Amino acid sequence: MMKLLLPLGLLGLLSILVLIIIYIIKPNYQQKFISSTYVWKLSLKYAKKRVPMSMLRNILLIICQVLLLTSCAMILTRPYFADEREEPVKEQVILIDASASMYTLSTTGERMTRFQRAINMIQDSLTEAFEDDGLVSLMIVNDNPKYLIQRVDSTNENTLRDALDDLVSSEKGVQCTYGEPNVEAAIDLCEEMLVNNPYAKVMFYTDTNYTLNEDIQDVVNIIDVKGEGEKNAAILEGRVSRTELNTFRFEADIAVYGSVMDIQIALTVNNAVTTAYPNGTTIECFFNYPIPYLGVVETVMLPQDMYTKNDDDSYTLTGEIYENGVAVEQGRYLEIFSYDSAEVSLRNVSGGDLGDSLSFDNSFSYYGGKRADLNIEYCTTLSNPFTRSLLRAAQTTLASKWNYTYKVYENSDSFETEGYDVYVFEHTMPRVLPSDGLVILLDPSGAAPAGSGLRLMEYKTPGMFAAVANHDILNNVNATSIIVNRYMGVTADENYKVLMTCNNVPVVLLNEKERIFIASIDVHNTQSIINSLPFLMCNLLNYFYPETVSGYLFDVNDTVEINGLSDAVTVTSPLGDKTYNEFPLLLSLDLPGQYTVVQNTFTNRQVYTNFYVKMPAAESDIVAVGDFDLYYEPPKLEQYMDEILMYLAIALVALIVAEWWLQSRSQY
Amino acid sequence: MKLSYLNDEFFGRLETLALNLRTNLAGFFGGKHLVKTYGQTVEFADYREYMLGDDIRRIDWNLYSRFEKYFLKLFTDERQMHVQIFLDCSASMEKGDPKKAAYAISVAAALGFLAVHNMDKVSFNLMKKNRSTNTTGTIVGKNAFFRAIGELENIEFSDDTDIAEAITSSPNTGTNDGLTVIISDFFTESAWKKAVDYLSYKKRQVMLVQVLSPDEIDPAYMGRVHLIDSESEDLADTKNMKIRITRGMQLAYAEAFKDLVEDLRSFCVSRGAEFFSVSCDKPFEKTLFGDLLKAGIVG
Repeated sequence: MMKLLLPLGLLGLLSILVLIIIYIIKPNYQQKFISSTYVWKLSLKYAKKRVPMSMLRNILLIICQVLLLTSCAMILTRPYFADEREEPVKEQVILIDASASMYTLSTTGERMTRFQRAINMIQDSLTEAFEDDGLVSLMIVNDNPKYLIQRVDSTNENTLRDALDDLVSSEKGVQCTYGEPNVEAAIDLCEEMLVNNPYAKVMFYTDTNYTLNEDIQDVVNIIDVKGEGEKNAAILEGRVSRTELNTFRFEADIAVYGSVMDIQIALTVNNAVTTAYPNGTTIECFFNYPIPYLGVVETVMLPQDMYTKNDDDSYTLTGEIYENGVAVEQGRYLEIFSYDSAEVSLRNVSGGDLGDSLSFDNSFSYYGGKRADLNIEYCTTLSNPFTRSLLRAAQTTLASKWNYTYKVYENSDSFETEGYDVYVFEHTMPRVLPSDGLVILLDPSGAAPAGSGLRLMEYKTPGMFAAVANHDILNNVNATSIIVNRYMGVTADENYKVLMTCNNVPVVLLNEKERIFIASIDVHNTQSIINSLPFLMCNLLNYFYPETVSGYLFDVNDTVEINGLSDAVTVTSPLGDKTYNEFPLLLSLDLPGQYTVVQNTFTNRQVYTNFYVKMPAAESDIVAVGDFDLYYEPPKLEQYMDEILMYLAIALVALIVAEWWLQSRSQY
Repeated sequence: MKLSYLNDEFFGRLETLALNLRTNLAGFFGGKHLVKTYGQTVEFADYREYMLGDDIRRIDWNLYSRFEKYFLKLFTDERQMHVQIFLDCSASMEKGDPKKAAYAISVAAALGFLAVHNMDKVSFNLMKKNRSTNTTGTIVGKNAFFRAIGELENIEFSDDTDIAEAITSSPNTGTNDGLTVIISDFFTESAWKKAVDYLSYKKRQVMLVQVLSPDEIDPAYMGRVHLIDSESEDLADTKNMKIRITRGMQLAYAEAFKDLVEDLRSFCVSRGAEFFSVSCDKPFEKTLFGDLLKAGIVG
């Protein structure tokens, strides 16, 4: 069926009226005086014979002119043919914001989360959405938006309503996430939908004030689901830093949204080493902190910001600090030299629950103050400062991951073969190698330990190293740069992997299963290993004792890699405990809060690694604004319109030619 | 100043033309016109039986000696022809093209000149409305003729002319003694045929001369025109007409004109009258030598 894009163009048909008026108005006759009209009057009867043809020509001329004007008017109306696809199909794409801010609870009126409110609003709108054979799709906009239900009609209305109820059911809990919504991905899905049906409407139930471009304001509706009386005080970010005096301070970025609030900041430091408690104690700080401006981030440093320096260089304490449960007296400046962990939280000024609308960001935990111990035993019968320096270098390099402790046995065969995580034997080997840790044999001498699978050969003179295998342990180790003065070839069973050779003789081998590393080179007299051996040592320790997690602070929806020291780890999260056996373990951090990874070392010593998962700072802003950039192409009509316009133009030209021809013929 | 061809040169050429004419004009001009009646000429015409009262001097004694009956010899009679020239003085003869009126007067003058040159009488009758007037009387001889010419030059062409009424009501149309020439454009609804018939009844030789302007023969104007007839009284006169002249209309005009002329010609042929149509842009000599020659007036 042909439609008109600009029906007002039909007003062009009024020109036909003008044409008729022109024909009706008596044309101007020029007067001419002649002798006699007698013959002209006679000629009329002869002209009448030609009248039928001229009448026909005149009629055709008028028709041609009317058609010409009609063509012009039709061109103005921009007609087009709509195909089946162009018939508007009523469709709604319902987007539900499922980000952390949707957990915001209203404090007045009907107390419900924004997410619950959104669900209720959607339920109320479904009846109208399904009218006129409307189709409805439902999309959850979290960090990975996807359709929950797609293009259902009223026959599946109950299914849709049940799906909505499941999102907020008591059994399953609120199906919001604790992260940020991936609005761009949701927009991409909407754009795909709009390509299939340009007449669809997008209904986005969200708590963010999105700005829409003019060209999509008819297509996208942003429905605000914020409730009354909502306010939020949030710890957006936390950091631990050192002062000039090398003491610790705990920084927290705090902001208030929705309503001005007076808050109390509480800090708890576990196993803090202070002047008064060098062996560690618990510190508690309580600090009332007014935040007068909404949305402005204030950085608070504790306990430093609790002190005000006086002119006489003394300090005045604002708030309360308890050291081992005892209040710190005025004038004494508390310094924390080390700690295990800390936590900052927001309360109301009375010390009670803050009572804001979003509680997930009211606390923050600091970890990394104390690392897990890694015990190293160094046994040598020929003390070598180079080897010591190796261990110290490794200690320094890996200090952020482990708390290294090592015990040295020099010039003695009395050493322990259990209870340590790493055993370094230089110039000596026990009769039986330890089995509860990593064993490093440097420049071994004597008989190979029983059951080790090794056999040592005689010493040989200088040789060129060559790496014969790829292994993480050899990262940054340039084997070809090593020239040893003396080396000893090693043969081993199939459990050993040859990593490097010297003059094609195996000298560096690794038994991963038994955790035995042997480098049968003379470390005393080989200078060229200065650059390579430190890397080797770090690589060894990293390889067998990787850090459990790569940090102590993550965001929700991050994926963290957990390395195990043994066969299993147990992860304690806000969801509870879960044990994992496969490594590396990729753990998706879906909930904010404290996580603890518990595992046993080879020595059956339990190692605890804590980290904190925080909510994205952007989600704490419960009155956020944003842009909803959706690309929308209106239904393509030009294609059809252009075709018709072309035909109309052809007809117009043909009519012009015909009219010209008839005009010229009418002169005859 | 009115256009006039009646100058010394014109009559000089006519004089020359007349000298070139045959002396024996067995046609329209020449004072010695044989008529069918019997007269006193020396030309034998016929015999008839003597009847009581006849002049015995006319008895043909040779025939008596032969037949012993009395017969009279009859001789042809000669009469002086009276050429009557009726000139249409309606507005259509001049208003359209002044040359047309001058040409018509020239034709009348030429015919008159030839008549008096050949010792005939001529009279100029000016037709206007339903009358014809002879302001110059019957002209005999060239002197009288040249005196009458001046009157012709002062003719005022106006109004319309009912040719039939003008001729039939003329007091002196004559009978059986000459030629009547009607000079007009014959663009009239007047029953001029009735005039021809009347003249034929009067046993006069009739000649119709249609004088036309080139614009009347082949009008070149086109478009939407309000044609004002020169003989109309006002713009609202029914003689006037509004017409859109296209090429088709021009062709129709040509066809109508052709039929008009043909109608004139065929009627004249049927009545034994002469007719010729001349255009005023045609040289006068050609008209005389050409058309008159064809008509048998000269030659």
